[in-house]
Amino acid sequence: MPVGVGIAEMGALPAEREACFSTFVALQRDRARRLAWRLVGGDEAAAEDITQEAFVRAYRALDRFRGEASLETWFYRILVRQAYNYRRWRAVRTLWQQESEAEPADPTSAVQGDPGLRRRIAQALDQLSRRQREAFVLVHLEGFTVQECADFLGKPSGTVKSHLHRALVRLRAELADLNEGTGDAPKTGGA
Amino acid sequence: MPSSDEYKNLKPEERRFIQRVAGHYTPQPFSAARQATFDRALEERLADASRSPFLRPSSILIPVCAALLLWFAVPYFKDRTPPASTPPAWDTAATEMSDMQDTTSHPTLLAYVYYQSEAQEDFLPAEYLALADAFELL
Repeated sequence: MPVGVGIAEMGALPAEREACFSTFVALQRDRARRLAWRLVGGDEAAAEDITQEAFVRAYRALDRFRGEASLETWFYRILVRQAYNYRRWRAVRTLWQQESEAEPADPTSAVQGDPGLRRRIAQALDQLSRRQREAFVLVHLEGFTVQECADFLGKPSGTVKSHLHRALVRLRAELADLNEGTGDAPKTGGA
Repeated sequence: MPSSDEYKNLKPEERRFIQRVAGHYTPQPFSAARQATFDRALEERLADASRSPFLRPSSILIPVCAALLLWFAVPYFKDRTPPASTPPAWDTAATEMSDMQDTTSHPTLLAYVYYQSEAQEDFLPAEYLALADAFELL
């Protein structure tokens, strides 16, 4: 099934729709999981749970899906919201348990490369506003277009561009060692 | 690697910065075993979602738990009596007036009734009795 398919292409019969949805899952699974992982600060288990929950919610609401937007847009809108809800609950749990350092994420699990640098990137993304972070991850890290991102977030394109610009400026300031021409290797230690 | 429209409008150093961030900040690809686990879990959740809402475990457990809670909680609250408190003064006075109408319970009236029924000399002072005898008042 091509990405961006509408309800008309999915088939009217439940069996056809289920088959189309399975194809959609197979096509989007890796990207959805990676996006969730980046949005929740590198927590592998949370990313998988959010991805599955987003698929389940999309599946449950398939009958109500009218096809004004593509299935992909609709699904990623759900996913981004799920990731945001997870972050909110995590913040509440962290506040409750007073474990602000240990709880937020485990970016070192099941990943390659430099865990310290990964943690620093996660922390720098955490310091952005919700919309700046979502716009940066969706457009710059995941390669969605500004218009797609605007559709996911329900914001005008101009607003998304503004978020992108501010996010990039703040991240470049925060992760100055990743900028070109500093002459230093990226710092690896966590903050 | 990023390839969005906005990305193409960036300066070269900004692109390289984003490439570095994207390169370092990415999850490990699924291993075959991990992918199988993920797919199996997703299939189970989708199968659960495709059931009738009334047959889902959560749809049954939540009302059952709520009913049990009510079953045990309602008699507990029903049996509880309000704590004893000092009645207000007006309430005390009204109670006394009400009691006075009941001759069997008020001590003054009980004494009066007894006085009427028993020999008067048992209740009158000795001097008064002597005077009463003298004037034959009794």
